Amino acid sequence: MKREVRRKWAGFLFVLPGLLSYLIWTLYPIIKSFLMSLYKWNINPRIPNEFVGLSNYVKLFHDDKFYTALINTLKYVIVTVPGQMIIGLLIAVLLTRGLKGQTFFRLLYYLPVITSWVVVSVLFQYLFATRGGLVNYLLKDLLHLINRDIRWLAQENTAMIPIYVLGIWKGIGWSMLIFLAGLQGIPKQLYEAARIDGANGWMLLRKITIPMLRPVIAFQTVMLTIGGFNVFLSVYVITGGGPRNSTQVLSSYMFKEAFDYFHFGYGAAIAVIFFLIVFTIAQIQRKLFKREIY
Amino acid sequence: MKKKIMDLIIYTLLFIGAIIMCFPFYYMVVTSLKESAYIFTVPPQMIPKPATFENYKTVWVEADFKLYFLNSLKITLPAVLLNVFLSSLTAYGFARFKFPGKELWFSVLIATLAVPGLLLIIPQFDMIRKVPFFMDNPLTIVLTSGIGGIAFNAFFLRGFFESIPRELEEAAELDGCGIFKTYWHIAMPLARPALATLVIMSFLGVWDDYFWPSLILRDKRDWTLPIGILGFRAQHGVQWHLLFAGTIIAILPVLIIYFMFQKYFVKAVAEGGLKI
Repeated sequence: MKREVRRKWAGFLFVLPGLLSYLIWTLYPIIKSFLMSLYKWNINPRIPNEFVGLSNYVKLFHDDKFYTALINTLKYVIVTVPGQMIIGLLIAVLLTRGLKGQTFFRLLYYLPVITSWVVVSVLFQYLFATRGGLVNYLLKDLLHLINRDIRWLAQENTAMIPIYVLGIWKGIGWSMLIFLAGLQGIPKQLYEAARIDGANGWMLLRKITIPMLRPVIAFQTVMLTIGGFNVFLSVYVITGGGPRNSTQVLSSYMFKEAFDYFHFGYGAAIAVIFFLIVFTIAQIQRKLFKREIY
Repeated sequence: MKKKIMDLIIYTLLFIGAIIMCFPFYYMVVTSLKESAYIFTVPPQMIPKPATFENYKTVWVEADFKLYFLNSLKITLPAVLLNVFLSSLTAYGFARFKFPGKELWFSVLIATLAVPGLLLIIPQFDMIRKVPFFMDNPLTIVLTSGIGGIAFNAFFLRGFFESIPRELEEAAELDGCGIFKTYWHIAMPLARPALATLVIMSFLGVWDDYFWPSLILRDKRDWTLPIGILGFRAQHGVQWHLLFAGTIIAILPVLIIYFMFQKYFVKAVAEGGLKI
């Protein structure tokens, strides 16, 4: 009996430091976010903040820059999520054919995933530089597809492209790795049986591989969508949201309002709406993929 | 014959893919070895001629990258230790003991996994700036990075602790081993593969973090590598040869860890990915 009581306390003591720091550093800030969005926050911490009700939200719904940021974020998700998954699946399928050097290729394809966002963003800024940038050199001087250098980052209609390309390039490896694990779970007999029935490679992919991978595809869609909504550093480093705020995404716009202008209440309102959108989309996706096992 | 041609096509595709994935890195290395006159030539040099290590020396000594590197190290190592230690305590508590409200607490922990970190950063910053001691203090980054991600880590490790047979720990306790000693000397060594994975994930997270440290560490002498890289770019514009020498210094430790522990990596991503 005494041992039971002691173990109860011991368990509590084990989880206490972790739980306590979690309450202070995660749970409390979540609640605080909602509260802050109802105030006009003062830069000077000593001056009391002014309660303004929902007026931050009213302002938000009339803010063109917010809509631009929202649309850019959605576009980023729509372009990069399928982009990463299609290429990731393709590579995974090629890699599972039992050729030599699988580990080596896997290692290389995964390299961008582990490299810091700051570093690869700076790198892509250089690759897409107008004069002397590698991409323009490739398109103009090597392939002769264009006859003048494209000012990728200076024009509103092209500035998102390097950000899309970076997002896909950096995420392919992760998608590939998850698909590889999924592919290993498909029984080989399925393929053998289908081959005997005369199915070709394309049919195998469509009728066996993709249906069998449904849970993996569902999982990746949800995870990559959440990740895509969080796009921040690539925009912040490569374009800084410009030219003329045309590449601003939700997180970079929030950062700008909160930490460039110190509009903490307004920034918190953006964060709350941002959270609600991600949460809703994740829930819808979960419903759509309900049949799949997580 | 047909199979051979097929294999050849696949190899070609894989090679082209690998070149696309790795070429930007190669180009970064090449640029970091160029002299400044050669960084914007058309056609771009694919092999630096003349090649020089001077850029590395310049950023390491004159551009303070040595300082940033040491700052990054001083923050990352204790933060990772704290993070893994706290996570393992929490996970062990949930895995091995019964106490009131246990499952409720655990589900609260899990429920917030999907909350984007961005949502938290404004109130977190507001909390920190109210205490002057915490502003411009590297200790703040150690502590806050050390407790970030505990929810996910505890979730990840709990399963692992539960999969270890209980008998060993029970035997140790019967021999008079205290509860904490049992955790430290029996359970922790058995959990080594999972802990290694956690150390790597945690290291990457802290080492590469830019957003949060840049808000707290405003003094140049406290900057970490990511802040230093963007700070250098802001100051020296497009001196790419120097900038890339700096970025290579920043990713080198990550690459070394990646190539050393890539087995753990692959397992962690594949298993962790499918379990969540």
